[in-house]
Amino acid sequence: MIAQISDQVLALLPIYGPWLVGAVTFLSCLAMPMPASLVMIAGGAFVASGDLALWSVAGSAVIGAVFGDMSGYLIGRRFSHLLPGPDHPRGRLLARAVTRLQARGAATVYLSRWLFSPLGPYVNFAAGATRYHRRLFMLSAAAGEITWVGIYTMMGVFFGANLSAAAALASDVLGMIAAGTVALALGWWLWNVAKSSGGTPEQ
Amino acid sequence: MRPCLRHIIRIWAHHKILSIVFVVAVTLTATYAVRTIDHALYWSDPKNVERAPEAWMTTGYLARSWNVDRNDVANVLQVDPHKKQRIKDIARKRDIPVEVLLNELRMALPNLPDMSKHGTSTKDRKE
Repeated sequence: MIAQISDQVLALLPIYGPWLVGAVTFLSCLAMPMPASLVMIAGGAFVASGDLALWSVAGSAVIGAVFGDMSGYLIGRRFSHLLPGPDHPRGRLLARAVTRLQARGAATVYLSRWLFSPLGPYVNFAAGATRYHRRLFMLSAAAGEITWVGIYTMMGVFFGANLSAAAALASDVLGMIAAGTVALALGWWLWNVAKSSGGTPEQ
Repeated sequence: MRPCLRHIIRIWAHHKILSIVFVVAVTLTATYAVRTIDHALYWSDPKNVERAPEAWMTTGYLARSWNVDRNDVANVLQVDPHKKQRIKDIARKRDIPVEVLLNELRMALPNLPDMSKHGTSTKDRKE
């Protein structure tokens, strides 16, 4: 994984740190294949070595990511006319999806920034295309990006003396949280379904 | 305890696939948790952190990676410890190949005094 970041990118970080971090997080939010997590870890490592300032690395990462989310949303909105209309059979399905997004959208947007981050860019396009509430989208996206940037930058600050170690640790922690969330949600759902379908257990 | 068991049997009877997914998710969570603890313990030991010097590293990064004083690394490289410089910049300034400088570092770094034994951090000394 670490081999994907070329030495050139790492060499550019101490010099163009905040700009590079911001550009990478911006592009990663538009579904571009960018090593954003590793760049943030490396940024955090250079913070700990005294070469970069924490506020500039974390700030530029959040700003880049939020602008990326906004751009993704606007791209989705701009091309929403390509989606089927309400009189189309698939349009009805889409309308149902929109209703669901409206109901649980904030949590979906928030979690897709950091916990299920590969989904992030597509949630941006979908939110724009379905004209999801813009202010709510921005607020949940910003909160999610702050969490995302916070986790990776802090991993870099504390464990960045060895970048491979920090990257492995970050993927372990996020894997644990993601699997744990699925286990908890599914367990809770199964338990409630069994309880309601079985009624009060007779003694 | 009995109603609890009855619930589990009912869940398994009606939702076999979702139950399997649930067990897989729990197993994955436990695996990741063990790996996280194992890795964190391994890398909390400074000896396991040391990274071979590379051209993109700065004096500060090398000092942190090897848990040595930034001033000592700067002395080896004959540069100002407070200036942000990468190994490749230093090699260019000194007009020597990067590989020569990296070799110097490979020889010198293991012999520099370990910061954890002095009880001061790189940051403290820098300030």
